Amino acid sequence: MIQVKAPLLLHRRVAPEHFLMRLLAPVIAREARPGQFLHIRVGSGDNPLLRRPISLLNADRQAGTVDLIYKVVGSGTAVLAKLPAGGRLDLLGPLGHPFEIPGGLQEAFLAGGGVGIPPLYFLAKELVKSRGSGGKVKVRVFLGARTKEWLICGDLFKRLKVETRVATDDGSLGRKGSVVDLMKAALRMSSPRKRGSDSPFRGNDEVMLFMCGPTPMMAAGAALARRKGLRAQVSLEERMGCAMGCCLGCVVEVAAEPASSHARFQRVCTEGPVFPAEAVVWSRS
Amino acid sequence: MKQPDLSIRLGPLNLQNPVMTASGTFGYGPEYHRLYDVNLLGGIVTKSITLKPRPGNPAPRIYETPSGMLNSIGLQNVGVEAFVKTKLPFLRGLRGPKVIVSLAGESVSEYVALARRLDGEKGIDGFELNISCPNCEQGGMEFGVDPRGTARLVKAVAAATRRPLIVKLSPNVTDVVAIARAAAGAGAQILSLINTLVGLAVDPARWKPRIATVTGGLSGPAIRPVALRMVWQVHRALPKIPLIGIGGILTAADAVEFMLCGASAFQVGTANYVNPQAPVEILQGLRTYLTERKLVSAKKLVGGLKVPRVLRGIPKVVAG
Ligand SMILES: Cc1cc2nc3c(=O)[nH]c(=O)nc-3n(C[C@H](O)[C@H](O)[C@H](O)COP(=O)(O)O)c2cc1C
Ligand code: FES
Repeated sequence: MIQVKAPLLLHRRVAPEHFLMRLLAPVIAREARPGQFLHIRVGSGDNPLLRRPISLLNADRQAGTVDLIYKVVGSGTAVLAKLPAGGRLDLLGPLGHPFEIPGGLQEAFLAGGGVGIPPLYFLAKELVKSRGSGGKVKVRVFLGARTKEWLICGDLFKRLKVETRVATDDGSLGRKGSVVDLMKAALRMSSPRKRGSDSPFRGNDEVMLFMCGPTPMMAAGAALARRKGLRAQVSLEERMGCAMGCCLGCVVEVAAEPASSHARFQRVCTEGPVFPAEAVVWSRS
Repeated sequence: MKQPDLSIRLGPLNLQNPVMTASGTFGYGPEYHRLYDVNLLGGIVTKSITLKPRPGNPAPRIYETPSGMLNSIGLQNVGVEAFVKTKLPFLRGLRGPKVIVSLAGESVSEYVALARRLDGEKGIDGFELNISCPNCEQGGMEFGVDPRGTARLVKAVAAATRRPLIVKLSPNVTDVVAIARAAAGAGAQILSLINTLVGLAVDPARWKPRIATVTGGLSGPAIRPVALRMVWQVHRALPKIPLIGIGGILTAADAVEFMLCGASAFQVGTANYVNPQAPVEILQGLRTYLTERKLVSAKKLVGGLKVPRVLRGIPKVVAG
């Protein structure tokens, strides 16, 4: 983890309100894992004041570059969007607990919506490279967007040659509906069967669901996974101060360990952003 | 030219430079040590410690406001025993900065028990009393908003420890000088100010407060003018007691403002989030500032504010 002023090599719009950045930051590119994020200073004055956490889309170790996609949601990202390529950006990272890839993984479901999709692309790329015990990990991707033109990273997944299904709210691309609808359909007929179990997935380490997207989507996805006995990891978002574990501003409620009350809250920047879905208390949202 | 002398005396404490980090914004040190050598700092103030571990407040806990932020962490901390076991060893190993442990409690006896428990521990150079805590004995009102409550608390803690005692003042009061005087009279050797200003931010779309506890503490550059005013007032009224200025310091120039108003040292808080290197950059900037002005010592800045003669009496706050 380092703080660097990194040259901004490329900066372009990829969908309405969504921008892609490529930055030259070899140390970060070398260390970065899927699910991790960078904490970025927007502007140099005191308004906007705080940095913005943005997930990594990709890290190219050879080229020493990292890619990000962010959505303009407020004053901070609006300032970011005006920055021309050729300038420099103050980065802190890579930060956070990445997605965990179990050693025996054979099949991975990746479900993402909106600006939650980029970290899943990074993960898919790693999974395609890596091998489970029984050969290649089978990667199945489910993406959601408002409409066809709001979908991001669709082309990137296509180039990875992983099975990708898309749902849009209006049906302008793929199925009309939600990511969770896609998952339900796919899980109904999914592969590895274990005898003597009420679900093909229960207690199974070979299949894992990875999710990142709007909270209602992840909550519904986590509930579905629980019903199916499918293990799941989710990447959460919360407003951040330090992103280094110091301010305790970014906590989420997780299922309390018995007897240790202060483990009730965990830091999205440090223990997260990726958590086991079963630990997360979804009720608040 | 010779390097300017950055060392500072804060009553019983000798600091290698006036740059300290503020409670709650710097964890317990090791996190930022990954980015730079924290031995360069003049002092480190820990997150406030309580007798028992505290889970803290529900989320969301922070929200950015114009040139500032609101927080409501709820004093989440590991409790004094875990602090001694897991956090203190790192601090004990430091050679440069003075290590100040911030103490918080809901009753006088809790503060006293904390001070007693830590008094014999090696590696602690002093305590900072966070008196912006709800005083449960007095119906949840902050200790620090009442001169008598402040005096009672400070007196009890001063009697329980031999270590240097800093009292951190709350800005949420009508007369900060009265509280400062009460703390100094009861045994505080150093005063630090200010803690956060109580504030509120609203989401107009959902008709809801932005943080779970509705109100929270405002910090960052937005509060700097208020902090400077309070430092100046207290320095004018109690020129003998050393002060540590806190509130919205992002740059060396900001720090100089506090020293001119009467602070001998200062703490960097929210700036750690904005720029993790802020404390070391401020240190370097301060050195440059002194060198450029041919000032031999940082002490020359303390209380140097030039005020029109007609206003040199007891400071009055007049708006408009
Ligand atoms: C997230 C956060 C947590 C804080 N926690 C504490 C604390 O535990 N004890 C304390 O005395 N002050 C605490 N403070 C107040 C700071 O130490 C400091 O007084 C205040 O933020 C003003 O300085 P600044 O504008 O430089 O941040 C906290 C501030 C922030 C932003
Ligand atoms: S953002 Fe400060 S602890 Fe996570």
